Amino acid sequence: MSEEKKTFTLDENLVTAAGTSPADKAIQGPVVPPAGLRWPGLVASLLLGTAFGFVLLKGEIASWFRMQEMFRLGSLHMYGYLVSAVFTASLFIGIVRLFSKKAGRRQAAAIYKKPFSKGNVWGGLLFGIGWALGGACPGPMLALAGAGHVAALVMLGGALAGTLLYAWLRDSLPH
Amino acid sequence: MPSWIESLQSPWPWYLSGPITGLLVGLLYLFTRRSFGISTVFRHSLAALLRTRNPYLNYNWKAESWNLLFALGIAAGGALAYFLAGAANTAPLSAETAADLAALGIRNYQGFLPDAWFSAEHLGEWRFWFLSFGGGLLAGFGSRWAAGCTSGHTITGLATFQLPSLIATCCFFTGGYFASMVLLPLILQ
Repeated sequence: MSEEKKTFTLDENLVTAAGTSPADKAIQGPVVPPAGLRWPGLVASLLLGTAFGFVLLKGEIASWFRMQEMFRLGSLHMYGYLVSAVFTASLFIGIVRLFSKKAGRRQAAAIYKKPFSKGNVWGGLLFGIGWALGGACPGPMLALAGAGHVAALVMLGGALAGTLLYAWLRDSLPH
Repeated sequence: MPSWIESLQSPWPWYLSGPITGLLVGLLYLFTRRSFGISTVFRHSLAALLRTRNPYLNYNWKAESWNLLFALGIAAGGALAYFLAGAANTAPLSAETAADLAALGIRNYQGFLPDAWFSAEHLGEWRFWFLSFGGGLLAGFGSRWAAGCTSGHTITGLATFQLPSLIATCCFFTGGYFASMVLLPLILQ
């Protein structure tokens, strides 16, 4: 495994306390225990999260109506949002990594690569159905809850329940 | 009224909100070296709340507390936008979508969720729980199984050229098209 591919954040599907459950063995990958961020990083996370929540509401990304419009191919709005966000993020992350590499900081330029698992397909399909039913993915759920929607709080409760269910069933699901 | 306040109160077009989102993802990577991803917060929350032997929920969640703060920030940002501008009309909605939604009984585009289904006065109806709790449950379960949601796979994953994220994104949208075009009208008409 090359230096480049080493992870330094908690890997979603790989790191468990035991690290030996069947699901862990099914998806092999590099594991480096993460270190927590110090306070400047934590403050930056909080502020960037706040800015993101603000954009989700101002850009109508958290709107159930726009979500339905997207899934009914009625408008460019959400597709334009996603594509321009991906393009800009790619550009900025690429620039940061390039400068880190030039400065000889290979570890800082590393980025975690998620390994393929069958969950990408089956979980992805289930996620898509839930996304369309509630009309919100996790980011908009949080933003809507902040804006005072009771239904969004119920969605968050559902998402926690779904996560708990996954934790229980994980080893018997295909990965 | 100064124009910058007006622009805070009116909705932003996608070509403004999209690049800003991309910039925020880049800044998060620059300042924290963490990958933008939200649904993982459900795992960290459960790990923080529950004392369990389940290996998936028993790990050093404190090392990932940045993610909990990030999620808290999103809710705060939603509150901030709401208090600055209130709930805007989602308009103009495309004519085809408006006709589709009218067939389902949705004609009022006030706010971000249709009041006819999602407002607190419908708390006693099965439809409210089916869509909110059921939708949240599938989104939570599915995003953990897929190891990411729209933010982690569709935005971060595609921005860093990861094939599994492309596969997951295609499946997200396949599920979404199916639920919106087939499932919703079938169940709710």
